[in-house]
Amino acid sequence: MTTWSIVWRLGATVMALVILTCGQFLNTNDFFPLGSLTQYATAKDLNGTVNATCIEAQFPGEDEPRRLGFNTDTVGIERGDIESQLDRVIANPELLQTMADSFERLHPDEPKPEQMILCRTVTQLENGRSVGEPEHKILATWEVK
Amino acid sequence: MSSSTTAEAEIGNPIIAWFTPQISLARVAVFRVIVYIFVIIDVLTISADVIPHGWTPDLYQPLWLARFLHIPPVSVLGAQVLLAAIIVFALMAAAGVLQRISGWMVAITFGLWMFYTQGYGYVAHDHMALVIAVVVLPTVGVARFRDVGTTSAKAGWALRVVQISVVLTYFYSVVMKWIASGNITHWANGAVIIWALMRRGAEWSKPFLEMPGLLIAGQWATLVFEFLSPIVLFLKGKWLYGAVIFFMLFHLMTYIALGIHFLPTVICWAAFLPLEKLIPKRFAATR
Repeated sequence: MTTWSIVWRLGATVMALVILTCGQFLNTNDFFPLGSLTQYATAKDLNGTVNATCIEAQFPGEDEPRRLGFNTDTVGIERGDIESQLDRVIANPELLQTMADSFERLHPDEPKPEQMILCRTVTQLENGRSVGEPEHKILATWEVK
Repeated sequence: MSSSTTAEAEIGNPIIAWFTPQISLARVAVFRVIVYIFVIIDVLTISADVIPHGWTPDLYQPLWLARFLHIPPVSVLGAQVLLAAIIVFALMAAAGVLQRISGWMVAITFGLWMFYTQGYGYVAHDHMALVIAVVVLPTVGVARFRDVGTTSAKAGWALRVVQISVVLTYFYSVVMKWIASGNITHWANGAVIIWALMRRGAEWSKPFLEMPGLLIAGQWATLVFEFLSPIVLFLKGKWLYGAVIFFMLFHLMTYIALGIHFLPTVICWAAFLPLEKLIPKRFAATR
């Protein structure tokens, strides 16, 4: 290899390593593919709670809202994507409209939902074991247009 | 390429030599087939959410590079065209047709696809090594199966970079656990696996929720081998094969228990292996 060939390769390697390292310490995924490796990195308390976000839809003529699969095949987006921007969705519940629209497009034979409900199930842990029934919380609702 | 060996030998710097080892060009030819075929599988299955993302433009959260390049949210038609382009270019690259051009086209189109799969909130870190592999492979230039006996430092650098990305995927995840939890023992003695099992565990794995002590031991073991992963860069022979098999088994276990397959990283472990040995003799001998 020519000297230049070696220099740019080593330079690029060092630069990528610096960005990746900064990504960790700044705790940001923004530099993808050289972002922070945060998956499952947060410590969880053995006496804390386990939260899982859920999505429900109220359909016309049904007594209770129905739990929908939180995935791209059902509402056009994965649970993890919404959980990563949960504050934004709660502050702007109109974003639930886009999930209702996706549901409608992906399920042309099903009725159109009247209301979208972003919810959370909360399971209490005690010494790492779940106790009692999971609690159901409503995070945001949106009347579908 | 072999003539350039002397230039490097003259430099004689062991660090440069480590980053740019002379390896068989045919190893890259085989690695390419694996990577580009996997890219097609990836865009059709693991990262297939780009097309549905076309329906949810309001949820677009572009990453830094996507913002810098002013990449707009994807449309459904745009995603379908992009998918077709990736498949065509990846097939060409895997078959070794117009190697440089097809390789760079995969890097561009697959890179764009990655911005659209990761740019809607959740950023998965199992794709780091694969994206880097796709970017560095075209820098090797032409590599064919028959080049078993031809060595190249360009090929050596490309695979070394992939190897480093693979081990840093584990090593930096320990660093991140340390940063995110303040005290690494809180993570190891905590309820992360319990949390993961409750949220996405398979039915058969639920009884393990009654054994938090075992799961905590599993967390400590994970920390230790993730922290030690860079050692694999310096292993050879049986020890190297053993380490690769160990990591494969780890991913198999997390897949069976949690549905987390980590395949994009798993595939890149191939960069550690003497892949040129897979080439049948009659191909290798044709010159």
